[in-house]
Amino acid sequence: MLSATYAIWLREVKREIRERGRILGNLFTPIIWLGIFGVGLGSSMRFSNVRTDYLTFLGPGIVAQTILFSSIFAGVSVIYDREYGFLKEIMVAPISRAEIILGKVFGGATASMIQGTVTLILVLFIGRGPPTNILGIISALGFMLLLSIALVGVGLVGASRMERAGGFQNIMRMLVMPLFFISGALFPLSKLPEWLRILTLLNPITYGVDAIRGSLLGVSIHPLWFDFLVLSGFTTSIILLGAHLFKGSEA
Amino acid sequence: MRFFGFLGSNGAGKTTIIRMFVGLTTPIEETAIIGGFDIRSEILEVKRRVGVVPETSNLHDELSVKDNLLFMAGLYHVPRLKIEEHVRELLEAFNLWDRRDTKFGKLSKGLKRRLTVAAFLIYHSKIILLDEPTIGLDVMSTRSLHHLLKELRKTGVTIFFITHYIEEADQLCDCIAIIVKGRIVTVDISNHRGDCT
Repeated sequence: MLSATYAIWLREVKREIRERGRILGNLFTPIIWLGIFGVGLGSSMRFSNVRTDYLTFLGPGIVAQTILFSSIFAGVSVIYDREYGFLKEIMVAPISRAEIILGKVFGGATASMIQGTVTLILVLFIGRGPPTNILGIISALGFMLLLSIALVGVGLVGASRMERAGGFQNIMRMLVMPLFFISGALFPLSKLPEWLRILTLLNPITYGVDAIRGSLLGVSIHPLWFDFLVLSGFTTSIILLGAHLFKGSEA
Repeated sequence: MRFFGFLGSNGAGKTTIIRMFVGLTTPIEETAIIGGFDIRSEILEVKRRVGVVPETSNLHDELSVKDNLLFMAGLYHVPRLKIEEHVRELLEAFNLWDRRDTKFGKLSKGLKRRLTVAAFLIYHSKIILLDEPTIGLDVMSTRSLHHLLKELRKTGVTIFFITHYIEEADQLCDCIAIIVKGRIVTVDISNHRGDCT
């Protein structure tokens, strides 16, 4: 079973690494957010319920944002594969749909982790908060991986029934922006109006942002174990749903 | 019977039949037995024995000739220790060893088609389904592919060849079936060769 999953994983990683334009775009975005939004907003305002300066607070949110954008759009590879006949090549092989899904998910997650890690290094250098220890960084990397697997799964669920890459990208963009804005990446969630607070609690990205911030800065709304449980549950459900939908998808 | 030709006009149902044989489309009724296995209930066993060469080459442009075969070897669970040796044998047999590091996207149409056939032999499939493999090829590439298929036939591989060129089917196949609107209207021995059993 491993060889087929590994072959698909390797091919996804090779393909993603060759997409230099997209990688550069995804790396440029956090620099803009941190450099302009973080520095600009941070220089003129301070949240009373945040212990660090704004740029340090924003850093983990931007790491999560990099993971969010790169992972969810990895699903588009399924549509391209279908369009160019590559999906047929995979689906006529004597392998289960689970092997295909796992190869795709781990491939997309690996590419996303490479970009997320570059952003994390950037954030560690520019942050002015409490110094992060090695355990905190390992914990953050673990949560980044969990978040990226979950979000690649979301992308694959979206892509499993769509035929055109353009339509998929439009729908995902509509989904990604609100999820990002209400995840706690940009502002603290503790003093929000009730209706908005409920929405943030329903957003799985919230738990990823909270866990990465908790790991790096030691400040989180929920205990890390709770974030881990919610993210693990969401990841398992979405991968199972993706595998189910993929069974019925056309090659 | 080793070389079976499947003829029909556009939209007759030729590609649908191939899709059914490899589990991409489920038959509404009836079934087929390939290599002793039922396509409805034992599709994984069928897939282990069948290679499909689609109408358009679907290997990966960004991977090299060799990497494409390695990818296929992974998909078909070829034992790791044998992969390198088998890839070399196959590329030499198909006169592609010198091009092993060339990206698939940089190959000519004829070489692409040749590699696509090679890719589906990486796991020693006993049956090969070819969906209009010569469409869009020039005369030399078509001849080269025909020669290759004839050689392949000698090794004991059964070839199921879809085409809408009657001359091509007549030249290559032992037996020909003609399909019209999803139904086989005739099955006949081609050129007095072989049989249709």
